[in-house]
Amino acid sequence: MRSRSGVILLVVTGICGLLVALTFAMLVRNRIDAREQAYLIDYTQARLMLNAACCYVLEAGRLGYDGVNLGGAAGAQREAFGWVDVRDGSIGPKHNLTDAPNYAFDPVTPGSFPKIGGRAARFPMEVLVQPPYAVRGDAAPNSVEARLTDPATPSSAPVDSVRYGLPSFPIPDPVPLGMDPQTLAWNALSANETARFTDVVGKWRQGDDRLRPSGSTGAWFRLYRDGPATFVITCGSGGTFGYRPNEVDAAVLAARFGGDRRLYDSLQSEEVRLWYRIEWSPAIGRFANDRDNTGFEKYVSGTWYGGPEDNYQLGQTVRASGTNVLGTIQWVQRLREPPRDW
Amino acid sequence: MLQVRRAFTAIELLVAISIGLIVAGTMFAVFRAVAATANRVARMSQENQALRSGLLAVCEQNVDFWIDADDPQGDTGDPRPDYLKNVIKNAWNTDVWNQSDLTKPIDGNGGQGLRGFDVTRATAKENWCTGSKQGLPFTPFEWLRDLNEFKDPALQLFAPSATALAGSEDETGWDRDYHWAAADERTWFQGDAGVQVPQGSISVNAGSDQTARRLQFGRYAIISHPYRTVALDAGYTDTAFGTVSPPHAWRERMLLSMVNGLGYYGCAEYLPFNTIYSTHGAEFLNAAGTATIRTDNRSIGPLPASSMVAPTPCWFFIGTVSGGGGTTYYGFPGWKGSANELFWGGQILNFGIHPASVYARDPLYPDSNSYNYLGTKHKNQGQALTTGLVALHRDNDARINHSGPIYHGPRGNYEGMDFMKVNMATSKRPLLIQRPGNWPEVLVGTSRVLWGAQFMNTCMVRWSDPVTGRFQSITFNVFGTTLRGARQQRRLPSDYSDVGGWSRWLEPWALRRSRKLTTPLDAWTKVPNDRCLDDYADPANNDPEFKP
Repeated sequence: MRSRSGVILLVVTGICGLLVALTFAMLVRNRIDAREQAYLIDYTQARLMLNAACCYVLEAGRLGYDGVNLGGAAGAQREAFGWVDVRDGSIGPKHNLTDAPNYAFDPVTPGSFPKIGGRAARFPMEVLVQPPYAVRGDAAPNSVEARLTDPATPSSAPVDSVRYGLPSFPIPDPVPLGMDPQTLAWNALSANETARFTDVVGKWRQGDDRLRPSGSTGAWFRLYRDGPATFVITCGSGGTFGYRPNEVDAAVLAARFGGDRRLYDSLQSEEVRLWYRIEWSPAIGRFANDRDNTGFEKYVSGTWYGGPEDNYQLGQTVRASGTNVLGTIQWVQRLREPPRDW
Repeated sequence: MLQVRRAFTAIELLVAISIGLIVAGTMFAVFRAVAATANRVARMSQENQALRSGLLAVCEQNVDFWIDADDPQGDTGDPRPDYLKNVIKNAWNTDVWNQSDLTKPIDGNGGQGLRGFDVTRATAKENWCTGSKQGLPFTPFEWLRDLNEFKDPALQLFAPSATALAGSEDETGWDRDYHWAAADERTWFQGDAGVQVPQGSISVNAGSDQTARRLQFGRYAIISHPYRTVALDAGYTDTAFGTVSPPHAWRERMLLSMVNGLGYYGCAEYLPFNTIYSTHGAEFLNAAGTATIRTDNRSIGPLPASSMVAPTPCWFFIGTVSGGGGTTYYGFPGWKGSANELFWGGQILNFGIHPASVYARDPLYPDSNSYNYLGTKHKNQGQALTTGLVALHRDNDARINHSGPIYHGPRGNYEGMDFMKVNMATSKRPLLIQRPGNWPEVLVGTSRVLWGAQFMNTCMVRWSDPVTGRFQSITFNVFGTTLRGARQQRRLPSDYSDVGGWSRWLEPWALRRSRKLTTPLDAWTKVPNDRCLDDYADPANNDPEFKP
């Protein structure tokens, strides 16, 4: 071999080595970036769960629970009056003052949520193919007609000069998913669905509880009631579905984790978990800052505005917050350490 | 045989050299481009990392743990330069740090400047509580016992009473385990919405309007008043009632103590959503122990200790101030001082109060133009002086003007008398104290405002590239720990020199106590969690929640 060949080999090898090293470094960096980005997404999802949990607390205290200790048939759902009953300050939620205060979210398991000091409730929030009672996601089912003419034939007569620029509401909103908003007729079941659902309405009520292959976030929250109106919220995002380690028995492993405890442990170690405490308050309020130029409230309420100087100028409308009939969250506290019970 | 050695001609050489130079030059340019691209990619990666770090920092440190507003570690040995240590200094009136009472508050060097007292308010003419100082959002309740105005035994609101029964109207001291049950009539607003006795013509003038609308909702003081004995003299429209003993006092005292103890932001945070920020007044003593009493019809400040002397207004609106010169400003803004304006701090509005500041033309420019836009007739109604807000929201330097009593908020919503008490913003702080000179700089900041009847945390992350000069920023809202939650995160300092640290909360703090709970809760065992800023150091007080 001539010496020149050896030199070329060395040069080529060196260049290749450099390329490999650079490529490896880039891949590592990309990997790190991807992991950090994934963590940020998980973190964001977990934070969103705080909002979801608060919404649940607000709604559940008023909506009550299906018929347990309600004196009615199972499945009957009756209005409740808050986690601390607004009528007499007793522990709720319950419909009748004489009801037992701790009727359970899970009537089979004694001491389960929402019993104070009972077991926590777990709320996995994976995206279902179709949630029960889903409604169509039409953004503007009754959009205001803004076209003077048909764009296809600009010289034609106005499309709808009567409706132009005016709101009208010919289409109900919302409309159940599976219903044609124009005809209000239910779409027929497909052949596959016929085997699974009794009828279209049954499908709408029941929903499709299969997880969407894409879009499942793995976000979840847990709710533990540690006082009449205080809750520990665990917000998470990952693959554990919100199971605590001591809850992962053989059945859970088989159903959720392929029977592999190590999979659960691995998912748990990579999961984002945040702990909060909140207090629910029965206080409701109305932000009546939704006045427009109609002067409606002026004439209804009668006394707010004493003279012409009190009229609102230019019809300014301020963003309104509607009446909140579900109470409010009095305070939120992030916990620095996991509490004993969650 | 003669060997002919091949050689290049001169032209070939010239051509080859030229091509070689072109190739070399091209390659050089390519390598430079590749290197520049790689460098750019690396910087973008750095910026992305910085952005991610900023996002996490602002969510964790600012929103969830409020470190930007109050550092529980209070690290007085913080090696950072002053301008970084006092990141919150600029968010507050500078004078807050120039404490004249050096024995009480920890100074701002430890990042705990919001734990002291705002002594500047003692002389501020717009101070509704003339002659007093005011607690700040992170002042422990324990320290608030020493507020001058609460030296009155009847209004020692932050000192748990030794004699009053828990759950009674005379109970004092903040009980953080007490759930303000809706069924507890102590929490009720007792005014009669059906009673209104207007007088004369409605005028645009605040004072005359107020005069004209006296006695809205009846003689409230008969039913509820901070003092348990009140002499009600004759007003314009009624005759003297003589001395009465209002059955309710607890709500009024809580209202007054909260607003003076923690400021307006704290008041709105602690009191329930539908609180009506309105009450009859109470006398508050100045530092000298003498009351400053105004008796003209525009006085919304200190009212007579035990009498409602005509023509003092029938209502005391939390946050309402006398601006001097015959001008009345309204704090938790309302409408012309009438009782219709049941005050709300972005919280309640059962009676449909329309904030004055809907007149703001553009929230980005609510400055003097907006002020003028309001028109003279509204200037005195508490709709002016918005420059502090501009500073807050436009460049987030958090230099909040304290000179004026009223500020209105963005998008037609408004805040209270003292803008900075209802809005808490922290100046942008650098994420990295020290960094290589060519690394991106990341600044994070959070503004906490009451907006649209909701608490809102507006966060900002801004990063800039010192090499290219490029900078970008993002703003977003995050839902997280509220002020009360932040106070509960912090351990109660043992004394004024103690920085406190974090409060441990490992196990349930037993059950929230609700005065009228029918289910006995005594079976629950207390756990030794640390006391927080909302607790009292004295375990021997009368409050059973804090008995050992």
